[in-house]
Amino acid sequence: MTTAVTSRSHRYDRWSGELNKGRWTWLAIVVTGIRLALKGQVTRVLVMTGGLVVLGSCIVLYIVSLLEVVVGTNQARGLYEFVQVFLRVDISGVAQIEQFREPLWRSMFLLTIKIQMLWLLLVVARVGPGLIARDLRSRALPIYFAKPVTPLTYLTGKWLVVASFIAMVMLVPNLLTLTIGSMITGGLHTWGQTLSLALELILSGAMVCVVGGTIILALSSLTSDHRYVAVAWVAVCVLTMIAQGIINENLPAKATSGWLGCISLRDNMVILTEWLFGIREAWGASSLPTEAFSSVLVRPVRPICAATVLGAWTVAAILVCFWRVIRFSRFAANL
Amino acid sequence: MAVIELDNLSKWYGEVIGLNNVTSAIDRGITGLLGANGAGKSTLMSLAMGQLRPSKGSIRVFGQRVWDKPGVLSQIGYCPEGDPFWSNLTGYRFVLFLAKTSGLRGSAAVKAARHAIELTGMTEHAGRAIRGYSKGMRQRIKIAQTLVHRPKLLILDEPFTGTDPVARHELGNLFHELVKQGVDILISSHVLHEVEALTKQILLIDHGRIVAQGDLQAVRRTMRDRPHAIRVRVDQPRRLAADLATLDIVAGLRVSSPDTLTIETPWPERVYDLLPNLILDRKLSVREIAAADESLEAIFDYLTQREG
Repeated sequence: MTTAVTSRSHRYDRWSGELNKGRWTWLAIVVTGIRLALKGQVTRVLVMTGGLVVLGSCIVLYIVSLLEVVVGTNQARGLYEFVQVFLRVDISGVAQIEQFREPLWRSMFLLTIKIQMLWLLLVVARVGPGLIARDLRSRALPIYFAKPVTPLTYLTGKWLVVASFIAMVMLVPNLLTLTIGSMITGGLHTWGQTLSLALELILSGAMVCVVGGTIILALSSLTSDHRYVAVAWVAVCVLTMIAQGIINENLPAKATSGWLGCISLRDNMVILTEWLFGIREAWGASSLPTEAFSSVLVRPVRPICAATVLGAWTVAAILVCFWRVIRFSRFAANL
Repeated sequence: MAVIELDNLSKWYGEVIGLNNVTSAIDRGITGLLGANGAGKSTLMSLAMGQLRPSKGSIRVFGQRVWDKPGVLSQIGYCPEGDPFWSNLTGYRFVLFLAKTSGLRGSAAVKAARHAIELTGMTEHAGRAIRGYSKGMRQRIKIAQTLVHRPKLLILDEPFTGTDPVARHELGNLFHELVKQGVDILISSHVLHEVEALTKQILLIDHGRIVAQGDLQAVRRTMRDRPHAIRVRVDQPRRLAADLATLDIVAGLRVSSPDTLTIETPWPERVYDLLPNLILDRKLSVREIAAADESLEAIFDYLTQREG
């Protein structure tokens, strides 16, 4: 059914203000992208339950802070066991727990991030595949580039959509947990002690956003069918993890401390997060015997190797994105 | 000043020629861009939008080069062919989003989106998801996003596809109204009679070259090597044909039905002068005298050699 319009109703009021020369167009792309993604019920559930992972972190932080108070009493015995089971660190017999606060908290956040990365695999698989693929399918790129939108603006907007979801599931909950933990433990001293951890959490989150965001965008730009993108994304993440597992099982630790230990995307990010948090050094400098904390450490791999591999993935992904988007916007869309 | 100027403009896609050494100027008002699939219409539109870099020559819109100059795009509204939608969005959100990508902010973007939707008669349906729209509604909402930043030039690729006759009529009215208010329109279509109803100003492209440009009738008059056809609906067509056959200005005669005579002539004006006297002398009863092949379709067929 059509709505009747008469020519009398056609008052074309010419715009008299200044058009903003595309400075904020990326924001429109981000807001619309997030709005569209959140229309999916599965996505909403994944994001909300992803945020719930940190509830466990809050409980652990509460237990650690409680342990600091009740250390030396009978109540402390059960709490030591809790820490040993959940953080895989044996601190039983330690009299001054607050001396181990930083490595304990950092270890707890590393564990949380490891779990969150598995969750992010699903969230990104849900949110990211359609970002460019759907635009290719509906031939929407010419409509973007008919506006003052450059390929860089377009890709930045799309990347920020993925980055926002990664932040929702990982970065924001972790920073909230840190804030809650500091409040529980109490005092400005704790805030000062954990301020560097906040920065490290932000850097770690940014790394996941950059690497994960660019890879999913690159995959999304390769096809117009978002289902293939989702499959490719899961395959890239899971297959590299499986391959890494096989290599680790069959080669000595020394052999996997270099390039051979940097195949898995997730493991590389965990290795770099551990390096950022300085967990190995912190525990190493403590008076605890190595066996008390060795379980909490990740496989020893040179961080430079992990960083190089992730950097290569990211650069390749950025190049693919630009190549595909420029090609589609300025060439193939017209043939 | 011409709205779009093409100067020795060529575009190649590898070995495929999109446009071949075209020099022309598109004037103000509505210009119909015609051509078969692959003729070069979309290439010309994309070049005018700055989405393609010319392989040779230049293209200027409002006197400015458009390649890699996103600023010029604020003066152009583009309605692509196809369905470039995110079907989960409502029509309003779609137009609002594109208002924002055009550089409008906050309440100005909201106001502009509502106004554009109203112009295209979609206010009633704007709150619904696009996936539930009919083809005609999709065309209208696409045109709404074209108008949202109030451009000076509209480039419309097949805007009537899928619309019903009422919607076509209303969109035609809207385009005429926009032209009155100083907007220029370049419109492409396969459906020739739609363009013919909208404008007499045409640009006809075939195999990457402009084969005709200008006023429809003027274009027709330049086709001297092909006789014009004049259709006369008369009660005794054979009797009229016998008289006309003796004239050297007549190139051919055809009685196409019991009451229709088609006269072919390179000098239609002289035939039009003669016909009234002949009809009066023979006391014939005439119902119609009309140009049989000044329609756009006839010109299109002739110039693109579709006809044998």
